[in-house]
Amino acid sequence: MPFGNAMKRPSKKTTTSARDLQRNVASHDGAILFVLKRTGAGLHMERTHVCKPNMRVQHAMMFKTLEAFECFYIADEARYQYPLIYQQIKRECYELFDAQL
Amino acid sequence: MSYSTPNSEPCRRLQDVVGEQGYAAGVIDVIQKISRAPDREMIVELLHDAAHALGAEQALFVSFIRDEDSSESFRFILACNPVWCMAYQNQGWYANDPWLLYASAHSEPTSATEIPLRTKAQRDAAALAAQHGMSAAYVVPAPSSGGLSRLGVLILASSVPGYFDTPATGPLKLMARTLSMELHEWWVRHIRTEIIAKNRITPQDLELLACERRGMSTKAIAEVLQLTAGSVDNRFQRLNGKFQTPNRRASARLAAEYGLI
Repeated sequence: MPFGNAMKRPSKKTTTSARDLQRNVASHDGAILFVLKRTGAGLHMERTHVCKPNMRVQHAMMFKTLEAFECFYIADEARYQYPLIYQQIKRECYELFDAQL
Repeated sequence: MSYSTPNSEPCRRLQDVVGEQGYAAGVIDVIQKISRAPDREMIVELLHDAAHALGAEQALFVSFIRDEDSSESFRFILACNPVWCMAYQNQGWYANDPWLLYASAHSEPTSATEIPLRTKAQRDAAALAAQHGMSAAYVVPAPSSGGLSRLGVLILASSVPGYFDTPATGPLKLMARTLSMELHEWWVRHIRTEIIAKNRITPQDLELLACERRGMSTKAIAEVLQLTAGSVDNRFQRLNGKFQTPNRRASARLAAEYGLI
């Protein structure tokens, strides 16, 4: 996997932009990584999941409302496997939606 | 929550949208912005805009690798209901997805109704899409040239069954194909830049990989690049470490898959 090293970084929260509009959240095993960015159009999310060795799935999407994010959150079954990470993501998303642009 | 965008107008017929004055100009205006998009946020927004301009309610673009023997990689740009995508992910339907399978073997855009659903998993995948507002879909492959096995496919969707089954899809086909190719080109360029930056790949590394891909021996590569044979082997070992591959052949193959060479 050409991105393997980046995925294995054992950090939960790695970056906060100067304007506090971006957060990165990754699991300790490096299997799941979220990049969250507040933009003028809403909340941009990139979800990268190494589902199994040699299989990597990445989704890039935009949430215009918190309600849309919550529907996604409930549908994502990886939250059962990574409950603490998903709690953090929920918290970060709420904060980012409240952030002033 | 049912997915909808402010621009959703599911009651309009496709032939009416396509026949509107300025249809092509509106789509081209969006497509032209893709090559200049600096990041994925912008691409997601442009895909939303393009879907509306083309007359679709939802859209997604998937970039994936065709070769089953190598590492699997799927990258989704979503201008559609993300809940559908999570349900799809939970099922792990990638290998059975009728739209991806179609794009693996065809270059012609088509309505999803023309794609046969041969297995239960394929029928389930189509039913799941319909359940999330994608009762009709228009599948637009973006084939790759040369040895690049990364493919792209644009999916335009509507909640109206049979929405894309109209003879008046000429302009849609043309515009959607252009959009799909532009998105694919953007992805390949973006992935290439990302890999080179993250792994600190040098131009000489790329030359080495290209030589290996052409099947050249260590001695021949050393002559071409004016290096010693030992130096060539050492550089390949470093590259194998960066790519986490077992040997230089696999490194060169990976480099070709990701459009580096």
